[in-house]
Amino acid sequence: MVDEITFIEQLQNTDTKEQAFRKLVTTYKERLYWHIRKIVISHDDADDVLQNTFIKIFRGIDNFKQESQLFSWMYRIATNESISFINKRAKEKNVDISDYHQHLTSNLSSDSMFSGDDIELILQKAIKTLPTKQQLVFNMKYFDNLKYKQIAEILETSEGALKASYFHAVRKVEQFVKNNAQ
Amino acid sequence: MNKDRKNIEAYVNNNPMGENQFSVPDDYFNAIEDNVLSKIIEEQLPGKFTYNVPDNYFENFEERLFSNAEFSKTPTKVISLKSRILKYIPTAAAASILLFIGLNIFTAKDPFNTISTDDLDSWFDENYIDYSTVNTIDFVDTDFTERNILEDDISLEDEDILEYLNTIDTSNLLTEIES
Repeated sequence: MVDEITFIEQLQNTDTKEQAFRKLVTTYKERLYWHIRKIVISHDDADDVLQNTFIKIFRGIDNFKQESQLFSWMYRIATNESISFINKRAKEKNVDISDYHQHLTSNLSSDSMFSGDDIELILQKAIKTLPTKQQLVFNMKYFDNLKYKQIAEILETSEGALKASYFHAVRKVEQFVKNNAQ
Repeated sequence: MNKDRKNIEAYVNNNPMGENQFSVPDDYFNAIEDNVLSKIIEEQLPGKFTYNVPDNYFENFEERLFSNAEFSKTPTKVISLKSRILKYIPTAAAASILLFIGLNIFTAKDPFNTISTDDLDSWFDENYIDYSTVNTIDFVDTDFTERNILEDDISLEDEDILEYLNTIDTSNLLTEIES
């Protein structure tokens, strides 16, 4: 694997762009998919958002200034695409964004693409009760094991604020699970 | 061993408060409670992310992505008219200066070409030019003056001259003399 600076140069060079972009898709498609899937829940929606994310990356790579890591920049695009998607759907259905988040997990038990047991279903419902930013922090920390530094770069916020945000998130999730697991 | 011990003692004596050169991230101590408690709570949560994907979804992803109509609609780079004009201003200015200089140099009228034959005639007629001051030899290339030819080292052998003369068709010369 070439170093990141060389790889970005290949992505920004017209002659090598397509080949380098194929490599980028192969390398990051699964990680970005799961990040998106945790936000939009449905596989079909995650597929649409993932494709849009890569199209945005392809179109925007020439303007990537390397002020953050390539990985963080792509995660940020995927996050923004997912949030925009959710907001658009909520608007179409004329419902509040927090109600729409909870609606996403309402049919999860009958979804063939979900194989969790009851307690895992409760966990998913618990996450969807959180404000959007806390959901993002929780998913990236709890499931993806990202460092606070990486999350801070993706969400463009301070590590201290993230730690507090994550603490509030896990506490709320724990409480929800306790109340609903009986 | 003794030396090591002395070094350690010296280090401790110089750092009575246990200060060191290590640093911690900003907000590390402020957020440590949140951090520790988060970890304790995490352990009580039911672990995994249990969503699935259809078979071969990731294997076929690139094929579907690159055949996506939106993907092939990568926009051409749009350059605003303003930036395009600004880009060409220095070039246009340089070209204008070169054109100005070029026109002045190459189209400047040669004063000798503007003198008509009549003007020259009238000059001579009115004796503006003193013929005696015009030395015609000055106009002749000095390489061809008689003096230079004579002074040049011409190494022609008699045999060469005779050979050259033999090549000349004298019948023509005779015909010309007779006529």
